[in-house]
Amino acid sequence: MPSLFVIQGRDQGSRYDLDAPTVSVGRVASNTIQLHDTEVSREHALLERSGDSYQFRDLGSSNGSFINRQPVGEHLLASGDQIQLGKTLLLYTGISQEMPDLSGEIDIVSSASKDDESRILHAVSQTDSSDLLTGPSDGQASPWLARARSNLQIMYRTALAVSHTLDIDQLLSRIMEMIFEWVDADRGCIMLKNERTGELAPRVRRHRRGVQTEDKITISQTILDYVVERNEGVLTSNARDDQRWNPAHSIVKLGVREAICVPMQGRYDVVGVIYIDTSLTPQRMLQERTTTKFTQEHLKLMVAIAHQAALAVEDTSYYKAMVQAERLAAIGQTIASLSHHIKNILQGVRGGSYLMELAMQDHATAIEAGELDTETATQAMETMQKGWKIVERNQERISGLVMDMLTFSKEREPEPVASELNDVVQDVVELMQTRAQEVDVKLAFDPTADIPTSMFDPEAIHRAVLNIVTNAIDACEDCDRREVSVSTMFDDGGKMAVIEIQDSGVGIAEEDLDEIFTVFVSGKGGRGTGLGLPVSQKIFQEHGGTIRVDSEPGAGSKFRLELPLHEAPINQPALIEDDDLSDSDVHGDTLAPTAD
Amino acid sequence: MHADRVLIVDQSSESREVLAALLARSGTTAIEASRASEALTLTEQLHPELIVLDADSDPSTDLQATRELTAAARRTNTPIVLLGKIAGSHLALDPYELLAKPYHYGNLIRRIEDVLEQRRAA
Repeated sequence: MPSLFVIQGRDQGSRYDLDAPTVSVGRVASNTIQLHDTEVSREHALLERSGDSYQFRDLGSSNGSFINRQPVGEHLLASGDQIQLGKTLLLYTGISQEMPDLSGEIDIVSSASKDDESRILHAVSQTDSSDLLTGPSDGQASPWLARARSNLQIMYRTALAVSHTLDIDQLLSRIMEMIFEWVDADRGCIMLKNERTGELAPRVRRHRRGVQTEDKITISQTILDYVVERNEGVLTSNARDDQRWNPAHSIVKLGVREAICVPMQGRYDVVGVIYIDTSLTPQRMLQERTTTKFTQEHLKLMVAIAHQAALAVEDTSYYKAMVQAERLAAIGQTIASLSHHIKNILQGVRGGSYLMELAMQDHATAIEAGELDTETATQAMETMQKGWKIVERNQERISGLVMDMLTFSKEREPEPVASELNDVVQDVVELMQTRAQEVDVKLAFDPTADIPTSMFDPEAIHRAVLNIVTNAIDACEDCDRREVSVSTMFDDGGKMAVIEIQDSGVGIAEEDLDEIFTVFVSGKGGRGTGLGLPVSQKIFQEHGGTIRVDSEPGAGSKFRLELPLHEAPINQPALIEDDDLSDSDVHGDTLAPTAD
Repeated sequence: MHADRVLIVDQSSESREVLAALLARSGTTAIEASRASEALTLTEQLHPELIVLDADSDPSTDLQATRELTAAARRTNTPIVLLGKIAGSHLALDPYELLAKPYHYGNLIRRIEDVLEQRRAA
């Protein structure tokens, strides 16, 4: 099945199998493939099945479509094509691969041309060439050559099979399947060595159609040890058992069981073994006058196949280990960053509570000494209030951190309900007013009246706006002019609401602008988690919106939050009233997310 | 004899506030700076008896200024109480007290008073 694989962009790692006759790609959810990329148009492109492949058609997108870096309108996709839509890069894999056109690179010149002075020395006709296969003198077809060719074919297909997958089990079953196509085996299995214990464990088992399968495959430990330790493939048969030739246990009665067991020798170590066996029925033995089916050549080829498979297994393990190592490194960084931040919060809590502790001690001492006058009491009270404020602030901080962590970590879909954007922003401004006053920042809100009720996740947008307003206030803290103005606008043409947050703070250096949405990169030193802006951006992107930043170091920053509006459905007014009720419940929650 | 003055260098105004309030209880004057560069100027102008430096709160920026501050402190023989753990020894501090985070304010105040005591005795 043809497929699209996102190799760059926010949806990186997503894979889409193309099975419908038409597949639409765009930013909004109505598309077959939704790309969370603000530079992708709402309805960006259409793929239409055409034979084995798909015809790609750009639907007049604003930023255009590029295939293999060339701008395209329409294009018949070929395997390996790279499609760039906005910031998203997709890889198309088709069923069949087209042969590249080499006509431009190889010239066929006419005989009259002087460039080529070759002349024909020998000519071989089709019939003559097949003479090669008939062998030297006896005129019979050369079984050696035929086998050699077939072996080459097998090796080629093995190489192909192992190069196509990174899933070990899938890889092993392909190898097994190929072996069965090639050799007349009844049963087979592949065992891999456990990296830690060194024990062999079966991973793939297969049997030929029509073969009785209730028997377990029994493999002698001696043979396995021999194969693994000596690193040699073996061909075994029970035909040589002395008993066999005893007339009492006639070979004709039992048949012969043969097996091939080969080591999977990788670059460094034996990673496992491949085992196949077959039994010759008495009838067949009589018919073909032989007691062997497997040959030396089978054995040799099996060793070669196993080697190829082992290399692939090693590569895959190596790749997995790399991915795992990277994952662990990322986890380590995450933990380091979070604990650093939590440590700072804890430090704040300790500071606040220590102030309170001292104030309480002072108070108690004064009472004991009977010297409690108004001045001492007031002083103690003031210290306590100061301490309590600090404790509270840090409580809020840890609560915000947890909220951000949740938003960032869970693959949470926005839950759009009919909401008023101005109300949500108003909530944020009211919530932050206390903090703004503490650091002497003037926080103003200037809403636009004409924003219609629309569908979005009020809780998420609240979080997103809150993070940016918090940053704006923090940015002003050490400045002379301390103003943060929040405003909302409505762009009817773009069906978009805009929230603007302008501060008179320190601003962001140009070289840092690219980094501000990177997780765990904080411009606020110890105060920032490095989660706030990435979380805000994630929320807006999930809503199909975007965040733009203008900043001038020393003069302040302007964050422009663009939210595409989807009008709330206006049918069934009774239901909408219910919706509004539940919606205001949500508001109730978001009003004080830190009060719990 | 004028009151001891302690320069607090910490990006967090909250930490400065707590420490200043605690120092005030023992009659020590606090001078506050949010950045090392600012602290450098204040050190040169006011010659504080002690510097409390939170070098951990802002690891990414101002390393150069932090280095200059510690160098200036060494020149003027001003003791430094360093808060937080600094990776490596890039600050090359000589006589300093190190308090790993998260520390208890009780300990911090005791350390500060010890250092001031030693200084007075010297």
